[in-house]
Amino acid sequence: MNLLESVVSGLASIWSHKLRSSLTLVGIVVGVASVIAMFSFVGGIVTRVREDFEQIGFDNTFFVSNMDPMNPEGRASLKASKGLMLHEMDILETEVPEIRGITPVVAHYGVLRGGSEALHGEVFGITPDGFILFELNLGPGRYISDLDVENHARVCVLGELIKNDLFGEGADAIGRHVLIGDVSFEVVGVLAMKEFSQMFGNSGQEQEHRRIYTPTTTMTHYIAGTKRIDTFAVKLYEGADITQAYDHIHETLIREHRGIEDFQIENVAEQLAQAEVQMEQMSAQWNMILGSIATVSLLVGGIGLLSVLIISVNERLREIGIRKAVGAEDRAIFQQFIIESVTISTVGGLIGVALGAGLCKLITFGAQAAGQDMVIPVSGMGVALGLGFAIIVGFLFGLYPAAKASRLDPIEAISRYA
Amino acid sequence: MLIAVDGLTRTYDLGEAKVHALRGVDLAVEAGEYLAIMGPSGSGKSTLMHILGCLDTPSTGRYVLGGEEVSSLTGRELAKVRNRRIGFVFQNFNLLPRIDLVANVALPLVYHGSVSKAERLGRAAKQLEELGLGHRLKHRPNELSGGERQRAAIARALINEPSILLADEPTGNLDSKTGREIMDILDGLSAAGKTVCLVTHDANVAEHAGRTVHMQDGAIAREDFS
Ligand SMILES: Nc1ncnc2c1ncn2[C@@H]1O[C@H](COP(=O)(O)OP(=O)(O)O)[C@@H](O)[C@H]1O
Ligand SMILES: [Mg+2]
Repeated sequence: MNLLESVVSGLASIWSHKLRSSLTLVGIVVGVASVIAMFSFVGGIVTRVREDFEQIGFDNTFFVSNMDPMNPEGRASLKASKGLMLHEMDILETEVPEIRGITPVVAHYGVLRGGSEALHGEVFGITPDGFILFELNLGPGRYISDLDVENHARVCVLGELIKNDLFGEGADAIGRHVLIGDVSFEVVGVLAMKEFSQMFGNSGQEQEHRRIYTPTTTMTHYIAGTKRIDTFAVKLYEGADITQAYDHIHETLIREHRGIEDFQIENVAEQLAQAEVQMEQMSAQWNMILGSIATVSLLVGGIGLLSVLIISVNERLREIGIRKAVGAEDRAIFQQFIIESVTISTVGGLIGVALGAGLCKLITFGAQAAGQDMVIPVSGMGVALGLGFAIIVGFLFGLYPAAKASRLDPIEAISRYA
Repeated sequence: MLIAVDGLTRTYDLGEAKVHALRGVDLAVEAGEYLAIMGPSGSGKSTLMHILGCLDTPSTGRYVLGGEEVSSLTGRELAKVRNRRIGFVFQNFNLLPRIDLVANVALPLVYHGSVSKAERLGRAAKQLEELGLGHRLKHRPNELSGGERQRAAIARALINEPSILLADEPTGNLDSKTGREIMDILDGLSAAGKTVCLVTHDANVAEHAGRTVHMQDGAIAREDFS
């Protein structure tokens, strides 16, 4: 009997004991589906978050900001030092060799008017470098130029969303005016939103596009009334030593602020690294839970398979005896029952693969229906391992019944049945 | 000499009690002989047939089949003997219930080795046709009469062209008319030169054979030639 025929006869035997076979299959199906779910979910989520981190692109970016003035310690230090000042931008740029680009940010929140609309919104004073640093893409018009910064020009670039809010979708805003407080700014450019993941990056992007951007100097001159800066966003050269850069920035500013630490330096890369560690811990926990489910259900499936095969051997003593009586060797009977066992477990494995894949698709579908752009790709590794385990379980738990069947004495097997 | 047994015993050990099913049987069967074994129920006829068919092994004694010492054969070699040199017919047919007649008859060929499936089924169909079951190829055993089942079992026993046909009460489960049909087949096989050895209760059946061996309490009591 060749392999194909044995598999076919295995399938026929499963089919002739549908209820019993399906009970056995449940454990294996659940086990395999768990293995696939384990690999796919965890893999999918980890990949997603990694991609999001990469897309944000803030890997070697520092944010230097004034210490929160609401914290008493910070307030005390503000009296002796004036905080971050516009001219410190040049000092940092010349003294910290790791810095590739820097932009001073002054933020303002207030009433914005444009077209026939008025609303509350945020304005960022930045420099041309800022557009590169924050990776803001230009739609129509132009960015703020160095000349604008030099001249305190009353020009602005609108985020795509605020432009729509003020002037309406599809309207051309270039050359029109926006009132920030009671100061009038000419719109010279509008940003274009990037295709971005919703899960992590989009809320950030939404904020970026609800903002108006003007030259920092114009902000300090017309609106803030002080040369105090809220934040320096600092971008380092690719491959720069982050710890050294931190120390250099820290040294320089401490000196400028006469020893008072009224600022804080935050590194996005560090935060991302922490987040990634958390992700890994989380996925390890998931792996533990799903791994236990998989192990237990495969074990349960295996034991179910074992008992089903033992029942099957006992029920089929006469068949085994007849086969031996007409010349089947022990080996042929052993092979028949092992193949049957592996066939049952493989069928269970395949159903498990379908279930696991379906689960991934369902979650993807559900997430998308809920507006989350999340895809859980079916893990090939999970499928391979799941099927592999199913086959191993079929083989291992089939060994004993198959050996038992193959060692039966022909006439004993035939007559014990009657 | 095709079969030679010498001082054959078979004891079933049931823990406390020992059942002596055979207590020293000497028997010789020539190639081409037509032999009947008779005896009361429990006299050891089936036990002897099973040992002759290599389905069971004796407790003591010698069994030489076609010049070969059977007790020296390995399990694999015994399987081969059962497969190729012996055709065994049971009282209750012992066909596999879940497969059709062709597949049942082809079963010994499955274990023969390198016979393709097409050839197996072809040969099985031909064998069934020869025994008048050409119209029943795709039927399962439970769709057939007892006589038809026994004819299928004979077809299975003959498929590998064995040198000897052993039949343990082949007509025991059949009415007398059907029994006669089966005996016609065995007579035909014997006439064609096949060695046939059958067990029966029925003196009318035994009459078909050239020699009748009478058993009593696990031993041969006497022999008749006709
Ligand atoms: N597997 C067995 N275990 C115990 N005793 C058995 C077994 N098979 C047969 N016997 C006993 O051996 C004796 C001979 O049985 P058997 O060869 O079947 O007789 P027959 O076929 O002549 O009716 C009987 O007493 C029977 O009960
Ligand atoms: Mg008997």
